[in-house]
Amino acid sequence: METFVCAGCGRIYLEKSERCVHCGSDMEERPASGRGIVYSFSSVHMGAQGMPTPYLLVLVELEEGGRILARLADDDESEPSIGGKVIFSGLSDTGPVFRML
Amino acid sequence: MRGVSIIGVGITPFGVREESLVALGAIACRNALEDAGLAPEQIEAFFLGNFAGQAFVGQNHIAPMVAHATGLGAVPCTRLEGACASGGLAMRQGVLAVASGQVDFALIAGVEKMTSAETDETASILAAAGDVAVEASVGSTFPALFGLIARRHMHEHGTTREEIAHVAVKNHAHGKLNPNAHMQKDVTLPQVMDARPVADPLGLFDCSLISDGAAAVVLCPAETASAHHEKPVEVLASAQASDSPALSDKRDITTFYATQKAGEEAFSQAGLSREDVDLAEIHDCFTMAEIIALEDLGFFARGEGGRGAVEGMTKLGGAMPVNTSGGLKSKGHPVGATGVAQIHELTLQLRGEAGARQVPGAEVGLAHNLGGSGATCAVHILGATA
Ligand SMILES: [Zn+2]
Repeated sequence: METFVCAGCGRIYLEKSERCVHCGSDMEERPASGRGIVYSFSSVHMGAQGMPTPYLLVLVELEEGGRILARLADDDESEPSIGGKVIFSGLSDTGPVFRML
Repeated sequence: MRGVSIIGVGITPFGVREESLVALGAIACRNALEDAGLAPEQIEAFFLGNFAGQAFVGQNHIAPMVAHATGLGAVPCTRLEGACASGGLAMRQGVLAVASGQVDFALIAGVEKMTSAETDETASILAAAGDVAVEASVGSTFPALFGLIARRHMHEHGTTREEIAHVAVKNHAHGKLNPNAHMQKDVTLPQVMDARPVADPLGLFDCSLISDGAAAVVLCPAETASAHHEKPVEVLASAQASDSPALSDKRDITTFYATQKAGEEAFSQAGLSREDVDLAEIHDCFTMAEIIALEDLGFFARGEGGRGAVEGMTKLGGAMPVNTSGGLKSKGHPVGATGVAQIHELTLQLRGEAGARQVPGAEVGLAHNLGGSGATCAVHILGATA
């Protein structure tokens, strides 16, 4: 997994861009293992407009540091837990997707 | 800077209202002016809290419209937007305008009309109070952000699902006594615990209500306040602080840094300690949020906030009743009105006019108004006339 870290605000992105979407600073490429742990999670039953429910949101702490909000893969039926290990599985229309390890 | 006092308050009943956004604001303003015994033309500045007039009812630029509907004339009008803290920001700007000597009479109002939108549309409008690029785009809603926060708080500090649910039971018991509350009825612990899940661990009864409503406040210099009202209420502190809304930017999601900072600043301005506070209106957009705010403001140690409702300290009759109005949970949460409605409730309490929910002998009250997932926080401390 490739990550792009903002030199200004420290935000982590999974897609390359010239400048940080949040603060406009330069970005640095950072190779990442794709592994992380669940910092918190919530199963969403009443969701945002146009998004079928339920879906599982996970706040993932990456092995290299920093957190990103992501979804757990729809077909991943394992019970998440705080501290549980996850691995990056790809990008979707709704951003990063992880699986429980 | 000079002292500032509240000489009038007004409110509309909260709930599903037929009046327009602007009319709701004007009704609350007229009630506040009548309470203060002032004519509209005596007001010199108007500050209005409103979060999303455009998104909910297709109307922006409503401060001069509410002013016109109230008969304020050419008075300078400013709309403040800080998500759910919009009302608290309007209050603070009014306090600063009078404290600085710029004006003698300021009118503050907050208003929102939310019930004409569909629930999932409302969820998306509210989600724009968070960082859309990294949160709403992934599918997070406000209940989802507070679900993530609640889960982590339970994990790190041992807060239980039952403690969280007790906040809803308490606030509904209070709101039942408030004739202006949206939902004037009790809920039981099993009802809260077994309710339909929204974003687990939070269910339907952990969420505040989607409401229409408005509230207003009239301010003047403290030194002349007794000429306008027999029981003026003094503004002892007006503080505000900020943080990033994105959970991924926060080192610790079990606390809101902006609440900690605004709280410390408010207690320092007022020269008071936590023990001096007789009652508080706390921003319970979700049950969990009340527990975190009680900890962030220093009323409870981290991980102990859940004891408040369970053991009764924060209930009517307890050491420091919290959300005697019913809070956002039972009184309702017309987003832009909430911060001003908190000031309305404290003012009634400090004048001894809160009826069945009166806190006997209340002298000092605190209002905590939080924007979104903690990006904006306003804290006011009010004192009764000695
Ligand atoms: Zn940046």
